[in-house]
Amino acid sequence: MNDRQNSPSCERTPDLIAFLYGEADEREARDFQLHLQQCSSCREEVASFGVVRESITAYRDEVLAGFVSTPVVAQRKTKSALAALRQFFDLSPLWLKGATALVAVTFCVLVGLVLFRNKDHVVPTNVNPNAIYTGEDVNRIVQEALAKQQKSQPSPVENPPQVVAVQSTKPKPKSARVAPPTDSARNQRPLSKAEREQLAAELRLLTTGDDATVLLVGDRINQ
Amino acid sequence: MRRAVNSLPVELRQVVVMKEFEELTFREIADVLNLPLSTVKSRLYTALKQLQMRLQKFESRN
Repeated sequence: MNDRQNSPSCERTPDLIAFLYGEADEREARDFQLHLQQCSSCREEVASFGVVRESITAYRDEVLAGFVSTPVVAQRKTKSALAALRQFFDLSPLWLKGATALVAVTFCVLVGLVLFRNKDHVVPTNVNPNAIYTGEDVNRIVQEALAKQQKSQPSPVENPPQVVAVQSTKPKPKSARVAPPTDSARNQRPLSKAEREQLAAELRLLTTGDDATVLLVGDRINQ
Repeated sequence: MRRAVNSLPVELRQVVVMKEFEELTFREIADVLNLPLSTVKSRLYTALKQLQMRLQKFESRN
């Protein structure tokens, strides 16, 4: 019975389907419209299939409505971080806002403490790195530093600059001149013979490019 | 309509889904299912006919 009901009453069902779904070309569509004027069963089927298709479309829209959230989610992802944060705070309860503010303030205080502590570790110096110092200036600064050190660390042993001792024990090379000593060099323990020789060799390398202008550390300090 | 579509035989339902939901052309459906174009159209005709009958049944029950 079903087969008889489903069997096409007209032989032009393929044209009917193509016409119904708009896939018939211009000539086929015109031809089928002429056929519709003569075939009542095709007219009825076109009308009834149109109703069925409307129901299918409504059902399809209902089903696809569940997937509409996909582009919305994609759009949300493109929001800026600030907008997302604002939305988060809008939706969050009051206690969460307070907790977040407390955490932020604590974080700022900690960062400030760390920065303040690091600032204390910086050794203040009155030496301007951009200024050009003459030999006399350097000697004066070194002497002041030594005097301060001796005042702050009163030790029974005199602590002259080690580099000076090195210069006194080694034969001074002719016209040798060396750059000023560093503070660390002055604070070292008495050097052994091998260390002295090595240091002296290194100091001889500290030239200004001209052998005649080499200045030993001890020379400048003792000036 | 959901019940009516789900009650269709698989070979008819897949044609309906590909045409109405995925909006493929008859040629594309024929290529995907490896069927002649006329078979695709006749299957869709049969599917529409069965859906029409089932909808009428549901309406008469309600």
